[in-house]
Amino acid sequence: MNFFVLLLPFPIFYLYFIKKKKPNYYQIILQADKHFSLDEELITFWEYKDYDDPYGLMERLRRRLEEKLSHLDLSKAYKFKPSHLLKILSLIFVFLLMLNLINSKDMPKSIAQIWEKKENQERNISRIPEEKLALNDELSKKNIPKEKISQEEYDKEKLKEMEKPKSLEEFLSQYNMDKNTLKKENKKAENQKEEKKEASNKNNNQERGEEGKEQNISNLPSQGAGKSYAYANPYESKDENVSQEEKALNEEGKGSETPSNQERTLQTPTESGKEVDKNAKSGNLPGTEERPDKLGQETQRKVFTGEKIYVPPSQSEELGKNYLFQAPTLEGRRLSQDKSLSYNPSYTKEKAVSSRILPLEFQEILKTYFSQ
Amino acid sequence: MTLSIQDFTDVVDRIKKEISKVIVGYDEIINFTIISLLSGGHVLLEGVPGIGKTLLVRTLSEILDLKFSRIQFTPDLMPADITGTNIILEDENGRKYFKFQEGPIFANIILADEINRATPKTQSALLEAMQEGSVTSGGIIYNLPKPFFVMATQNPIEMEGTYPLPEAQLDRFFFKLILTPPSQEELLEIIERTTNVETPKVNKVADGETIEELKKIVRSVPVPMAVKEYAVKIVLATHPESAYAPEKVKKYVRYGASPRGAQALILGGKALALIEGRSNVSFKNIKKVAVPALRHRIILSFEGEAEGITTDEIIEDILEKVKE
Repeated sequence: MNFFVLLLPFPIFYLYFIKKKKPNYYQIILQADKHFSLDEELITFWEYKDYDDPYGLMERLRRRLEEKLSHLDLSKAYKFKPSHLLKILSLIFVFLLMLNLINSKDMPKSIAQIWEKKENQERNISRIPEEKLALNDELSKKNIPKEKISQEEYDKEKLKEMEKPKSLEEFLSQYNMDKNTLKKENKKAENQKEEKKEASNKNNNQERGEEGKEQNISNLPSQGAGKSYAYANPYESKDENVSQEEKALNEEGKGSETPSNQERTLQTPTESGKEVDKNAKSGNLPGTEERPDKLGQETQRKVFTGEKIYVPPSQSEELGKNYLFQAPTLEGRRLSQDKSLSYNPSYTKEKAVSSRILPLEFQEILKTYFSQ
Repeated sequence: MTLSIQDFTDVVDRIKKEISKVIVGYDEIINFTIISLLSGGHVLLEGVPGIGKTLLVRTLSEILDLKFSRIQFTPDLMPADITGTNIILEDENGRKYFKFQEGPIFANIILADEINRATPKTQSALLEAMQEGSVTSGGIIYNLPKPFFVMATQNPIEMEGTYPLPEAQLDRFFFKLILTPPSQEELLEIIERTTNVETPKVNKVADGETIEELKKIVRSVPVPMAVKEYAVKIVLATHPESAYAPEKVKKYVRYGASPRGAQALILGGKALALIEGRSNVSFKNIKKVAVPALRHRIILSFEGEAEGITTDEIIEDILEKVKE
């Protein structure tokens, strides 16, 4: 900002102020009376210049005044004395002047930068036709056919592309989040609960049969309760459980013995990497197939042991679509209850692997989609 | 008879000189008394007994070849005792008729001694005489001789058996002069002059006609407009409701000065200017006469009285605050 612009109003204002406050003769004479201590004789003489008095008062006044004024040295009497307003304005003027000086130090740099930018722009502008020609040459070398379409046709094509539901379905097909799958999961959980109840009933019956034996154990938490965490997992690798679940799913109608069911029992890669099932079917599952170009080469890809995981069937799967799904795995397998039935509850720590990898924003999109 | 400015100065100087033969000190009081005389006003002298109030007035009357009258104010004094009364007389043929018997007020210089000892009714008998210079009795107006100059004295401490002067009466006085006790040197001089075999004698300096002519000269003194405006501002500032009134006036003053106060300021300023040897009235003259001219015209409020504020303090505050 150039502060020189601000400097201009001050002298104008000061001149206007002086012009407006310019005293008239009366005020000047009154001031002179005060300044020279004339006891208001000058103003009296000026006011009563035409006063005709019989006592010679005015004549005496004139003589006295002449005598007093003859002793005055006007050059000494009227010394330059700046007024308060002039002092304030001078201070503001000096302040703004200093601001200007400070500001003007950076001006050459900024001017040089502006010139540099301008030159660059001009250079770029001059290059445009050359670059255009070069691109045209490249296109002509590649022999890419050029089609001329009107703006309307282009818009229509764009609209068609946008209206295609295929793109959304394709997008959604990557994720196993359809209603049926969720329902089935819920049912599985219910089935497992029922199983737990049955197991607990069996235990109770056995306890009643063995009267007096290990009665003190009855106070301990039931085995079912102790195993509740394990049972809560619908993908336990127990063969019996898997078969039961398959049956339950088959009973639901759509889940008949189809090749797709066989596909659901898949082998997960082993830790050593030797037993990795690299068949085409397993590769179809998103997340399990090998990436064409590996991101983050520095980190070694984690390979899991071949563990059969259960992939529930879904409506979309029947249509021949695959979903991104990774079942939770258990670290260390719990011993079967049937094989070593014990009333002492045993607990093993389970480490769940993150199951669904789905960004939150996509989850939101999906929720809204299914709600509609 | 026409006098010049020089004559004025000579007469005044001689009056001062003659008074100073009898009165020791009180230069300012003498000055203001002369100012009041030449301005056509009356003076109220206030001071403790024996301070020389009566002596001052008597000396002045002796210097000025004028008829002097002294009225001792007492509680039983009646207005007719001052102004005069109609008496029945019998002529040669035995016919009776009324004749106005002039009272002591029919003089040039009146000494109203201890004026606050008379009743307000008697005090009021002076009102017409002081303002109009006339007395009305039996439906007939009797003009008083000129110059007519009343010098009243009052004792500030003898409050018992006294009647404070009403505001209207006070306003008639041009100046109120307060006499303070003399200093050590002055007191020695008083003893020296008054305890010897020979008492100082004064000469007559001026007669009534001269005084009247001097009064005309005083009135012809020019006053610039700025000075007049200043006098007006001062008088307005004594009113608590005025815009010029300082905080002290608003707090302690009940009533301000009347227009007579402004007249006293200007006329007193004129006389003072001439006495000082100048031909015009300045701001200084107005300031100098402001205190004696306004101190008895300002009435303090209860708060002011209770806090012991004097009107002199109020006036000095006004002179300080009001700009020229």
